Amino acid sequence: MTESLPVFENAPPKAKEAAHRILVVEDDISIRQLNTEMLIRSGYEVDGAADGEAGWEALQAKRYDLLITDNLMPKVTGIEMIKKVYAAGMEVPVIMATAILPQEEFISNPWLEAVPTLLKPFRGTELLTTVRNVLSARDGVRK
Amino acid sequence: MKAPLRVLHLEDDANDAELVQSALEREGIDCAVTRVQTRNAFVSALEQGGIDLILSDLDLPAFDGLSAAELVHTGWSTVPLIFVSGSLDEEVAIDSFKSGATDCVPKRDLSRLAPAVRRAMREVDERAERVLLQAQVIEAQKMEVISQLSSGVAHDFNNILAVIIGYSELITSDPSVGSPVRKYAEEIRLASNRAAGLTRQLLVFSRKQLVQPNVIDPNDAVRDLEIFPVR
Repeated sequence: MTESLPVFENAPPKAKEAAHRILVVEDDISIRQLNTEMLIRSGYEVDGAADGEAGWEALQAKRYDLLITDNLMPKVTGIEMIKKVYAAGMEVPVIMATAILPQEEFISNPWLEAVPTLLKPFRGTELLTTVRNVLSARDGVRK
Repeated sequence: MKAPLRVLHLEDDANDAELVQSALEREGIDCAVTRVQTRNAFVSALEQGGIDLILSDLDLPAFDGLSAAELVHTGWSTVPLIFVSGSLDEEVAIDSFKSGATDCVPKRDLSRLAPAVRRAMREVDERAERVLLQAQVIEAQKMEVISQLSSGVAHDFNNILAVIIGYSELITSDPSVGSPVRKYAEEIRLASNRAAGLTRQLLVFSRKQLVQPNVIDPNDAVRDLEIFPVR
């Protein structure tokens, strides 16, 4: 049933064990569930974390092919978490999915320019297209 | 300084009044003087408004300068008052300042009047400028608060819209959902997109997000507003 959905019809039909594994870090539970639902319907394997700290712990426990994160979250923000990821030399690609990304953040964190960013509210197709592009770029590099 | 300076002169002696006016004009201060002698005339001249400066004698047959000064202090505190009197001793001078007068000048030394007037009018200008600056600061602080509020509202609202838009997309993308439910879900999504446009404007206002100018077809934009099908 999942494969026949028009919005997600281009989803890569993958066997479960071959599916890309994505970590969604988002403090708003409705959005976390929604994004998880969309990604699962498109054939991805998805875990959720409620803030930057939980996200960091999840990244330590498992290997992920992609990290999708909000920025403004309690405890540890998305930007702080990404900094830790980069500092630890993890190779996981990142997508920022946030409602606000002030210009000041780009000034203090110039590397953000290179991070694909989705501004909420974004469409499901935008999310999936961005995910697909980032993953295929990554797979291309790996080959 | 304004020209002519509109002066209200509380003075019973017409000759003294003329001497005072010519002392000012000799110093290049152009003034339009209204001379009054009684409390009633004094108050009604002030009530008419437009007075820039008050000059006042201390002893008058029908009124006295100190009471006049207190009256000005309570009702017209922004108008400076200078005593011009023949009977100015030290004690009277102290009383006159206590009553809220800006300055006092003895009639026998009218050469001091013009500098006193200039100083008084400069103080008025400085006070007005200070008041204006304070108002601007308060206005700027208000705008800052509104900006923070609107960006907070926009942030939370965008999160809610993301959920509404996302789930309506999930409905429309499900082939087992038939018309008219699919159509209704589509309308929910379109309306949510318009709301998202509003929150973007709020964020632009609060300068938290870059403006993304877009070339649009006005016909499409108007058509987007038609939520319900035309019957």
